[in-house]
Amino acid sequence: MTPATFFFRAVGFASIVLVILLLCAWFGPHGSRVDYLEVAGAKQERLKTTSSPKVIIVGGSNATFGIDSEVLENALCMPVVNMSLHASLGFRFMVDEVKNSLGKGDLVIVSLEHSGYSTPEKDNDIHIITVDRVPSAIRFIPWYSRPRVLMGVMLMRMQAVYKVVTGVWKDASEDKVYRASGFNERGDIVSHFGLPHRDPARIEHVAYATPAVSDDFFPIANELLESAKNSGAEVVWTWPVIANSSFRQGRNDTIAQRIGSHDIQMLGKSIDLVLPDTAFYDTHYHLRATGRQLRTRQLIKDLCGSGKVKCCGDRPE
Amino acid sequence: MLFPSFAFLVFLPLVYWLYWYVFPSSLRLQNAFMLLASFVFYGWWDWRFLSLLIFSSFADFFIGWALANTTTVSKRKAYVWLSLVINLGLLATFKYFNFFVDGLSDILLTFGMEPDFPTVGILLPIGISFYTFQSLSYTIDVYRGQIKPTHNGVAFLAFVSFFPQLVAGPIERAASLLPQFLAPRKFDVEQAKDGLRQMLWGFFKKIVVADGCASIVNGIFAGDVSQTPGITLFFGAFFFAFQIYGDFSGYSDIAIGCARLFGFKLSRNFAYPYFSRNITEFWRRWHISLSTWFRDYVYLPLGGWRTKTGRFRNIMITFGISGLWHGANWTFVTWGILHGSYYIPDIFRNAKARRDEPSLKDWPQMLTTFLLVLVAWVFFRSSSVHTAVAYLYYSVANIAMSPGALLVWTLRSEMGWILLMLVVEWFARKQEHALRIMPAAMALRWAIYLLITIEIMLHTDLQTSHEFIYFQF
Repeated sequence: MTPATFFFRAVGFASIVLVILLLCAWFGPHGSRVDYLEVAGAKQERLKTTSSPKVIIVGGSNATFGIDSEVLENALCMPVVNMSLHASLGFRFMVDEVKNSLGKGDLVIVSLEHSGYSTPEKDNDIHIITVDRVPSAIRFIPWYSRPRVLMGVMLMRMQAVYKVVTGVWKDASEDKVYRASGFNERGDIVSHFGLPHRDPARIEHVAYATPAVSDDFFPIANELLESAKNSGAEVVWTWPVIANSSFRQGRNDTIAQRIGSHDIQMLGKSIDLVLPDTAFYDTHYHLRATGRQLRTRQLIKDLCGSGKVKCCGDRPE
Repeated sequence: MLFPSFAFLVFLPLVYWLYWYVFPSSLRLQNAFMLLASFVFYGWWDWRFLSLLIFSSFADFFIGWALANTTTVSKRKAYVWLSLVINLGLLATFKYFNFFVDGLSDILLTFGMEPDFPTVGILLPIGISFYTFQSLSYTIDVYRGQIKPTHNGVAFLAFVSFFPQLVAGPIERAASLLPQFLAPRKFDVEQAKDGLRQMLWGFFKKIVVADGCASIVNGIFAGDVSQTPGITLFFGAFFFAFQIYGDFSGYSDIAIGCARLFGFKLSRNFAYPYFSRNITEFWRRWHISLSTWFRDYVYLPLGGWRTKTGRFRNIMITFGISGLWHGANWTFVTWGILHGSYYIPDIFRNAKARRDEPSLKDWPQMLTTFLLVLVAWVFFRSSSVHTAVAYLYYSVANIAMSPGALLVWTLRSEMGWILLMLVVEWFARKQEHALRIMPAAMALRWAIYLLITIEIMLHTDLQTSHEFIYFQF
C-alpha cells in the first residue's frame, strides 16, 4: 500500500464520520438549550429594515441590559437598533455586523466592555452557538475561523442529539432571562425586570488583561470609522456601565489615553457610569431596570452635551 | 498547536501529504520540510519562543561539532560545561528564576534581613524542559563518546524540534532519533496504520478519560478540605491519578503514533504503570524516557550506587531533582522525595523491578503500589505542601462524613470510562499500546474505530481548550 492509498483510506473513514456529523447537524436539535443568541437574527433584520437616520448601538451585553432604547429614541427622534448582545462575540464581529448597513445621518454608539479593547478578535464557543442559532451570522466571522466554527456547530449538534437521546436534557429547566423572547423590538433585554439583585459574589471583577488596548483594536475601529465617514454616519465611543466594586479608574485612564492617541475620544466621564452593585442583576455589567434608567439618562446627557448629536425630543430629568 | 484542535486536524493531513508526495525523493528537503512543519507547530502557540528553541539547538549543534574537533580533555570538559550552562541556564531563567528568588528571600528573612529582590513576570515557554533535556543529552553523549556528532545542521534541528514529541516528549536520545533523520525513510503501511490506532487511543485517554476527570478533580481540590467528606477527598486523588495518566500517556500515544505516520519510531513512554507491583516497577513503566534520562545523566554519574547507602542517597537526589524538573514549587520536590522514600524498602530488600507481566493474583501488590502513588499525587496536584498535608489529613479525619458519597462517586460515568480503559489495557498489557491487536474483519475493526471516534467527539469540550498538563512542565 502506498502512502496515497493509506491516506485515501483514512479519508474514507473520516468521510463516514463527517456524514454522521452532517446528519446530526441537519436533523439534530440546536447545540445549546439557551436561545439567547438567536436574537442576533432579529437584530440583523431590524438593522436591515430600519431606514436612516437611525441610532445603532454596538457593544456587549452591558448595552443589551443597560440601555433603554425607547427613551433614547424619544430623546434623539430617531429609531434605535440595539445590536449589542455578548462581549465574547468580539469587536470584530460587532463591526462586521453593522459596517455595511450604515446610512446618512446614522449615529453609531459604541459601548464596549474592557475585553472589547484588550481582545477585540474573539475566537470562542460563542461564535459557534451564534452560528448554530443564526447560520447567516457566519458571514461576520473571519474566513479563516469559519471551518472551525462550522465543525464546532456539527459537534455541538451531535452532542445535543446524544443529550436528547439519553435524557440528559429532559429535566433541564429553561433559562428565564437569557432567552430570545426576552428582548423588546428594539433589541434591549427586558426579561430580567423585576428580578432581584443576585448574590454579590456573582459580580466578577475586571480581568486585567495586558495590554489594556490591543494593537488589533485600531484597524477594526478604523474600519468602522471609515465606513461611517463614507456613509455620512457619526460614531461616538462611550464607557460601559460598571458596578462600583469592579470599577478601576486607572484601567479606564489607560484605555482613554491609548485610544486618544489614535484620535478616538470617549464621550463623558467613566466615573459617571459607576453605579452601586445593587443596581446590577447578575454580573458587574448587567443592569437591572432602575440602573438602566440611570445609565440611559446619563448617556442622553452626554450625547446632547457633546454637540455631536442633535437632541430634539424628550430629555429625561 | 494542540493535538486535540481543529488546527491540528488540518495540519496533520497537509504535512503528511507534502512530506510523502512533494519531498519524498530528497532526504534533505524532507528534513527541511519536517523542520519547517515543527516550527509552524510550535510557533502556532507563540512564535517568539521559537528563537529559544533555535538558540538551544544551534548551541548544542556547534558544541557537538567542537567536541569532535578536539581531543584535549580540559577543552572537552569546558565545552560540555558550556552546554550545561546554556541549557540549564535557559531552564533556570524561564522556569525557576522566581522560585529561587523567593526561596532566597525566605532564607534571608529567617535571618532577620529584609531583602527586596525583584521577581519577573516570565512566561514559561512550552516544552522547554523537554527540548533542553533532549538537546543536552546529545552533547553529553558526544562528550562521552557514545555517539558521533552530526555535521548536518538541518537534521539536528529537526531532531530537537520534531513536532510530535517537541512539547511533552518522549524525551528522545540522539542515538535513537538522530540516525532516523540521517537515513532515508520508507513508508511502512503497517506502522502507519498502527500509528493511527495508537493516536486514536491517545485521544480517547486524553479527551474522554483525562478531561472527564479534570472537572471533578478541579472542583474537589479547589474546595474547603476541612468540610469535605474523606471519601470525596479520596476520589479527588483517585480521579487525578487517572486524569494525569490519561493526559500524559494519551499525549505520548498521540506523539508516538503521529511520528510513525512519517516513518519515525519514538521511544515508549508508558507501559501500563498502574499495573505495577512495586515502586521500582512503577518507575520502569511511568514516563520511561524521563526516568531513564535521570538514570543515565544524574543517578549513575553520582557514583556509589553499588552500596545500599549510595543507592539511597542517589535515589533521593535524583527524585528530588526530578520533582523540581516538573515545576518550580515545593509540592513537586516533595512529590519526588516521597517517591524516593518509597524505594527504601526495595533498597534494603534488594528488590528488583519485576520483568514478568502482572497477573490478577498480583492484585494486592498492584493495589498497594497504586495507593502509594495516589498519596504522592496529592502533593503533585496541590497548590502548596501545607494544603496537600491538610488534604491527606482530612481524607482520614473526615472518613466517616457522608458515607453515601462512596456510592455517588462509584456510579459516576467517569468511573465507567476509567474501568473501560483499565480493562482494555489489562488485556493489551503485553502490547505496546491498547489497540495494537484488532479483529481481522475490517467491518468490525472500523466499527470499533468509529465508536471510539464518536465517543471522543461527544466528550469534546468546545468551551475550553484541551490543554495537556505536562505542557506546563
